[in-house]
Amino acid sequence: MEDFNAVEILIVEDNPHDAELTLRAFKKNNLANSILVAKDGAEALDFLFCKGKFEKRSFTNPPKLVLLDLKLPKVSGLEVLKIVKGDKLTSHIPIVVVTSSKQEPDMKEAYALGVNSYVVKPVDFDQFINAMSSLGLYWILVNEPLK
Amino acid sequence: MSEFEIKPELKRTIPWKLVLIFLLFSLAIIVMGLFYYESQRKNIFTEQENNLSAIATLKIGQIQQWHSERLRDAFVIRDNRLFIRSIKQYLYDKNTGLKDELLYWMQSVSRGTDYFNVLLTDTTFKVRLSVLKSDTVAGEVIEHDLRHALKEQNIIMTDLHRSSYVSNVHMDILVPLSDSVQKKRIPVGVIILRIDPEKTLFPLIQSWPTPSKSSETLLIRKEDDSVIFLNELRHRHNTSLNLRLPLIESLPASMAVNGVTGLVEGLDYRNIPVVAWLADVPGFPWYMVAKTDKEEILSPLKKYVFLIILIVVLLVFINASIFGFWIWQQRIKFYRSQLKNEVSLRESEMKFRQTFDLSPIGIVMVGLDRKFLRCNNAFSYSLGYKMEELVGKNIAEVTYPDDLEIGMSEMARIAKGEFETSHVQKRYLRKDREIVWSDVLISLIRNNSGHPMYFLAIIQDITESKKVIEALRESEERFSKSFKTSPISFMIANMEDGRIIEINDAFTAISGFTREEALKSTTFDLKLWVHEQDRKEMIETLGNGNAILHKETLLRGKIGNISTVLLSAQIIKLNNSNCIISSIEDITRRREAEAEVRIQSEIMSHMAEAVYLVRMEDGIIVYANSRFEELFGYGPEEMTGRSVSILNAPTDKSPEVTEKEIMSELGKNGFWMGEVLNIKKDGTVFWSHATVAIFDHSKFGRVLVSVQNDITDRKNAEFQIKKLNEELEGRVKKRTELLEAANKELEAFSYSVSHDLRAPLRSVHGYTKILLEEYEDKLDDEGKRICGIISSSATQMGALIDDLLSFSRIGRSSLNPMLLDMKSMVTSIFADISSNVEKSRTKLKIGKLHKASGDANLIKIVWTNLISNAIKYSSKEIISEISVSSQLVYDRITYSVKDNGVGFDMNYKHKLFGVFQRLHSEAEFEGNGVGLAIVQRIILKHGGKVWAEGEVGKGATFYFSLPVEGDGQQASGDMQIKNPTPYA
Repeated sequence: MEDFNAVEILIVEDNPHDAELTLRAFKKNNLANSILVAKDGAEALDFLFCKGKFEKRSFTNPPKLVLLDLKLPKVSGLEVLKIVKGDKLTSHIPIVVVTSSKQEPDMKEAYALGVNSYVVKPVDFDQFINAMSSLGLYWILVNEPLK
Repeated sequence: MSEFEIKPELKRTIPWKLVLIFLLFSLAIIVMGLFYYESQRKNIFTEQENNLSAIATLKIGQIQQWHSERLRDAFVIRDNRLFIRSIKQYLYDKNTGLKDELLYWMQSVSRGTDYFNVLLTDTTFKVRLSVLKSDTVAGEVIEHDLRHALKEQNIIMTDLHRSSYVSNVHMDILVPLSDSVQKKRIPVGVIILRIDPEKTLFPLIQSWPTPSKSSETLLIRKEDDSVIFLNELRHRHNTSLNLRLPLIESLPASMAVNGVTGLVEGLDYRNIPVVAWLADVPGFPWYMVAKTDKEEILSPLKKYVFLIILIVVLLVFINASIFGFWIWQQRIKFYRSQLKNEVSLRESEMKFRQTFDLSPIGIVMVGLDRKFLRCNNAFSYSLGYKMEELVGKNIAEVTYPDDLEIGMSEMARIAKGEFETSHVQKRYLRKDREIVWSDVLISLIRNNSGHPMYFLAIIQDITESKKVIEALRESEERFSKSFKTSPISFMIANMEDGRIIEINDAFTAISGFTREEALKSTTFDLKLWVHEQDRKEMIETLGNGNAILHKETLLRGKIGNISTVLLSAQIIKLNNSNCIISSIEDITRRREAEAEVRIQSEIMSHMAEAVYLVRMEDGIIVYANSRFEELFGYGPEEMTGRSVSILNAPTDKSPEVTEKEIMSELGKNGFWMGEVLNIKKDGTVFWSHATVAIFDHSKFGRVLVSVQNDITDRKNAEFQIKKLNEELEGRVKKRTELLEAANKELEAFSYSVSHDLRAPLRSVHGYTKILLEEYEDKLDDEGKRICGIISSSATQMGALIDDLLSFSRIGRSSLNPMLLDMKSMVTSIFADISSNVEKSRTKLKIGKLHKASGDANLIKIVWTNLISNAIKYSSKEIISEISVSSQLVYDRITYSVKDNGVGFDMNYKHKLFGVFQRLHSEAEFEGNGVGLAIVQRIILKHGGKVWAEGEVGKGATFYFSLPVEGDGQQASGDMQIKNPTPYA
């Protein structure tokens, strides 16, 4: 998938299993056409700010949704959130934090930084599939992004 | 001083009545003179009026006569027909031979009395013949009159006038000539007779029948708004028809032309006052003014005035002479009688003067103006003046200022007549300013008519006797005053019987007996002597002729109080009997004070505190007790007299600053307390606690007292404590740091646990599900069952991780206590956690639930666990019966949740609240064994306890208690909730 401009959903997740399960959930709802998975925070930022290997990408085609894990190598999820929401070029991109635990400080900080939604990944796979499906459907099909 | 001055009434009296009569007489004479003058003046005016009117009438008559004569001349000519015919011939028939005849006639006429020229004109008024060759024009001024005369055949006399050919003032008589032809009158010509008024008319007017300097008559006529003078005037020339004056009211001429007649006064053309008679002249448009200068008229009056004044003055003088003579006669009589008196007076005067001068007692005469008129030697000597110096001096100058009022008021009262004489005692001032006391007898001397003349005073110098009396009085007063007011008690008592004769106030003060009580009694009656023996000894000593001085003895007061006194006594003689005068000094207080001082000094020297006094003035130590000397390491008395600065050890504050602080505190509170660093004699520095105050010492003045306590030990202890505290704090800080690090680690650990442990679980669960779904056909039943177990185990482990995390979080989170409404909390929790099925088969009974203080979130977890346990373990019964209630015992509230479930074996009750401890299998009742551990942890954190009672198959009861905070009212359940919990 070389055309980064067509990416609709960016999944930032270091755990490949979780990424795969998430992709699976989207696949079940036919949402998996234009999904990119970033392995760490740095890669996610490169993508969002069209740098590094994504320098050919254009700001005019931002992703419709970013799913952001908090515990990430290199640059943490909260840091990514802070940078993206703090920049006028990218602050409008919807970001949903998808994490394993509901640590209160994390939640507080994420909301303070302007996260669009905060979701805790259920251990139960059925519940997990449900959560991811409704998440993808809402943001890709229902929500009207800023062009 | 002369006798004449004593009888001043002779000089002063004026016979006012006589003067008045004299003045009245004189006035009458003057008035009479004035009347006479006025009547004379009137006479003269009447006479003058008669004169003037007579003259005027006369003149008018003369003018009229003159007028008629001139007219007669004209008639003669007019009626001479023969003559007229000749003229006609000459004029119209050119009979030139007649010319000479006619001219001759005309010349003869003109030579007559009044005329200066005769002219003949024809009917065209052309002059045909004229006596004077120069006068050849007729009709210039008088043409109108000529026509009138010719036409009417009337003789006309013109008014006075001038013409360009005849410059003199003149009048014309126009005689018309006519010939009668067949009864008709034919005009022939006119004869003009020119009158020269200077010839007859003006002299007639100007003449004055009587001799007069200023009188004159004038003819005037009115022309336009002025008056024109016709004739030549007496006092001004060339006025005929030349002088023209405006109509001025005061001018007699203008009065005349305005119709006034008779006698008037006014100012004439010269502006000189005149008296005039005014009349109009009949037959002419003329008015006549006959006038005389007022001055001329009054000139005879002037003579009269002089004469009248002369007579009046003469009469007044005669009058005065008569009166003068009369008064003179009176005086002569008076003086004669006076002379007689005078002689006798002089004799008595001589006697008086000798008495006066030689009297050894001062005698003075003082005028009504309070000035010395005369004084004698005795008086002037006593005042140290010479006699001449005193005469003329005001008595105030030699009177002692304080006594000025006495003498003056007495003199004033005598002068008013309140009394004849007055006796006063007053002080005079000698020339050398010494006071002279005098007895003064004042009386007022009046003359025969009762007028006051002067004061006579007889003055006796009593200074010497006054001095003696004064000295006596002063000494007595001094004694009695000092006796009375002396702070030392005095008593005078009879030696024989002890009768008290006098005591003073001080005695009353110490004994308590009033003077009245004491004077009625004897010393025995009053039981004054504590030891009767003392009195006996005293009398014995005194009897031997010795005085008693400062003998200490005891006396009893009125109320039985015994005073220690110092007694001194002496014998004095009063009224021929021996008396004892005793002075008694009460030294009770002094003795007490001495005792007090002794005690204080004892206390001072044995005090545990160091005390010293510093004189404020110079900072010198004036007293130090023995403890002080000991404390500072000085020998006895070594400190006194040295500066206090040697005691102060140097500190970080300068001595000035310290002193300033102490002084300001002293000013505010009256004392200062604090710790000071001192230095001992050997240089050792030590701390002491000092109390400093300021007071006024009777001996040293303003002093600063300092009481000091050695607090070196305490200071050391404080230092030790401080040091220990610091160490402790350091240790605590270190521990806290460690603890905080551990906490942080724990937090990081639990974060990792929640995040990282769950990820593999999700994978396990997820991939198992995928296996089941996508590889279902490749798995047999056993394989599917195993996959199911893997899956549920993973889910269970996820829940376990969550519980563990919350369990650990409870330990770390801080409490946020508030008053909780337990009843509503329990009700809502039950509604939340139970499913509909459970609700229908559960009978929840909520008893009294006290309100208690706690963290709402945590207590909610407690109730949730207990209630869900109750529901869970009673779920196998047909109906679950759960009852919740509470009980307040002393300072705790115990809540209980009771169910009718499976219960438990009390042997294992210690395992109930352990983590992961379970009394039932997972298969029997699901659960992970963390719930009650959490409950216990929360309750312990609140300071409460958790326990349970139960029996297998008979249900279980779980209790937890919470402490009541405050006075217990909080838990009553009835009180108002101060902090309504948001939970409700």
